[in-house]
Amino acid sequence: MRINAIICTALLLLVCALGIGRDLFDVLGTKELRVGIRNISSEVVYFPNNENRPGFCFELAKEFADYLGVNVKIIEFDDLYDYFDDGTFDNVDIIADILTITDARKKVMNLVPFIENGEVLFGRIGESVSKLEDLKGKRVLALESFVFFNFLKTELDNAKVSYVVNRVYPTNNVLQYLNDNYTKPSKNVVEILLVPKDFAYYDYFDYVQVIRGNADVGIVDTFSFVQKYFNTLFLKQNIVPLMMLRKETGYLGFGFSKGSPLLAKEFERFLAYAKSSGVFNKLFKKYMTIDYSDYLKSLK
Amino acid sequence: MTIRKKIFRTLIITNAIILTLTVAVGMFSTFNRTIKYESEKLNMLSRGFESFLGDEIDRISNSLAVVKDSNDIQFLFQDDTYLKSLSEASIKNSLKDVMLNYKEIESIEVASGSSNVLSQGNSVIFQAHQGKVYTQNNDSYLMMKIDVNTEVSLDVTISLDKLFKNFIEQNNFDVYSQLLFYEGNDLYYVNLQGNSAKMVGNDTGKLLLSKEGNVDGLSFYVAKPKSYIFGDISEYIFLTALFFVLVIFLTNLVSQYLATEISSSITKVAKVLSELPEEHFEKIDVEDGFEDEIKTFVETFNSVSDELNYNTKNMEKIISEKTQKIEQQNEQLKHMSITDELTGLSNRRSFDEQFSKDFSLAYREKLYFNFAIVDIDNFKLVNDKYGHQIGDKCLQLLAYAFKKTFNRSSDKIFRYGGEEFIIYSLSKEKEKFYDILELLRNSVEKASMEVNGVSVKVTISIGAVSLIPPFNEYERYIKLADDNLYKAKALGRNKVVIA
Repeated sequence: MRINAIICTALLLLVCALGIGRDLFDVLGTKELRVGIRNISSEVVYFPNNENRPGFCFELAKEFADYLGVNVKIIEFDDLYDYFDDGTFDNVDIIADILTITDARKKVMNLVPFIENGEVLFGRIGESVSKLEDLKGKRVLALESFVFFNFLKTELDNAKVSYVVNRVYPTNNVLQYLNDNYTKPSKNVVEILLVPKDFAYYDYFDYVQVIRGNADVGIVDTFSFVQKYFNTLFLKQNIVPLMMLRKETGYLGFGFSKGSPLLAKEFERFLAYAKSSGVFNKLFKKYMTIDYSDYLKSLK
Repeated sequence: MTIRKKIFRTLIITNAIILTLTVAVGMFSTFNRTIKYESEKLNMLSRGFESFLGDEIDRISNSLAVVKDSNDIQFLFQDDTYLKSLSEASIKNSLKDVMLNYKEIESIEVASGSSNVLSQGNSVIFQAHQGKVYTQNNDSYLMMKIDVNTEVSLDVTISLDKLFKNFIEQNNFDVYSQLLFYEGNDLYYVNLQGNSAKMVGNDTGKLLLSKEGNVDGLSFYVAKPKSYIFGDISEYIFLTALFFVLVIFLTNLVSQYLATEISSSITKVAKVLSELPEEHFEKIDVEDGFEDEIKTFVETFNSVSDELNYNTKNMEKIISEKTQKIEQQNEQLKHMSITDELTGLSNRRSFDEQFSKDFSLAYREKLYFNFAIVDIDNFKLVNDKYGHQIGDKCLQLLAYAFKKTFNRSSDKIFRYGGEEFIIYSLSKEKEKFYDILELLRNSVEKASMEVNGVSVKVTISIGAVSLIPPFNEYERYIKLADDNLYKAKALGRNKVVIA
């Protein structure tokens, strides 16, 4: 009995620490779905100034709200990491963003996958990389706030490709090395240019650095890449996809409070309905210009 | 005019009229068909250009969709100058590719409101409006406005000259075709020589127009100058005229031949007839080549000729017989004209013809003119009592008595009128004219005339003169006799009074 009381108290404290979100009936009762989202001028996430494509995640969340028959209330976030702060779900019911689903993140919130995803390496047109060994002697840009950095290190380790990590910070259109005693790596190792967490990431940052020549290779998720690549002329005219970083297919998901299982479940039902009815594909094609099924094929 | 000429003239005029009508109808029909054909062709061109222009606009729109829907457009309005420059360069490259595929595009501009954010190509017109047409420096431009969002648009300037030229050349259409369109109230044309100009006075009278076409607010016509249309059929007109002349020439020859053929038999017969001697009719030989009608004519002529020959040979005898017969008839007629039908005596007309002549002769020759007027006394009573038939019979019997009494050839007896008779004769010597008259009166008085079983008695009064006329006025002489007749009546009738 005592043990049970201790466990319950611990769980209650844990839930309080994570923030207790509203569940489905609270949303339906207030007729309002509070959506946490980043306004980063990205058509993938949320771009309110873009009349035609205000953002895939935004529109998917709005479809979900319509499905529930409630209104949407946007709660803007500055950075991806802000989602994982304590008390996030005090203000929002759902995080509508391209959250790469990892085990670590799943411990913090319920992540309901809405799209298959992978990590793609890209470079300037003319760049030739078809395997990880080809990255030797090249500068690979990675952001500490993104999980791709960890994936990259893991894959390089697995492939036994040597690499060095040099922290850089974007300054005056160049990536300034933060190491005081920086020495240029040999051509036998991969140089990872790591942008620290505190950098205020903006859309197209990775691509711009590669196009400028500040880096040779960049890493982005396939979902974002497809959307941007097929809809942005300067990417198509300057950038080329090189190879997939991992063989496994991952997922991007919307975040829900651990205390909102019914809402998360309802979102899963909504997704199943949207994908079977064509609503999802229509939305997908609007942003990606290709069909959802073709996207899945491209991942393989 | 000879029959041959008449036939020839009839044939040539008839053929000329028929040919002229045929050519006129043919020409009219050809003109109509040409106009109809050209109109249909222009309508087809109009529909074709409508489709071509619509498709071209759709293709251009689709080609520009990659720019319109690109994220780059948004970066043009971002503060990030690098992103902006990247986007500008990329958009320009894309627009350049589109313009390479569509040569008729003069310029493409990214416009925000009235500002020109970015342009590619030769900027011609600003502040474009969808479907609006502008004309500058002999070139016409169609403006396309593709909205990116409520504020931003892609303004495309398309050269109508090039577009129309491409359409005509790609489809191998008529190079004389023109494109007409209205800019406001003014009518402009575009031709394949690359000229665009305002039509003076909006005069389309010299053009054949298609039905109105419309694409995205642009109303247009495809037209062709009528001079070219009629130019196309000038060869036909020349050939028709040549055909006309040739047919007229051939018709002339055929008509002459036919006229000669048709009139040959008649001509032969006419020649034979003209060569016949006067008043001598010979038979004409019926040739096998003669037409049936001519054969009938010759046979009839030969028959008539026989009769004529007979008549000619017996002409004198016939004429004599005829003359005699006529004279007899004339005599008979003359006799009838001067004879009283009832009494058989000479009538008043005969008296009038003869008396004046005889009286003049007597006066001239100093002959005795024995003249008497005889009147039946109370003859009216006879008629009233016995009827006119009896009266007429009395007159006949009295005439008979007169003729018996005055039976010399020189005696002339006339029925002067009604119951009045005149008897006269000329003599060199004084005759016993009174005595003869008295004898006549007496015989009449005594005579009882049996008429249809009825016994009728009449008397006569006679007024007479037997003198050598002392004057030449016969009326006075008749008056003397008439006066004596009056005296005889006055004396109680049945008297003879003579002077």
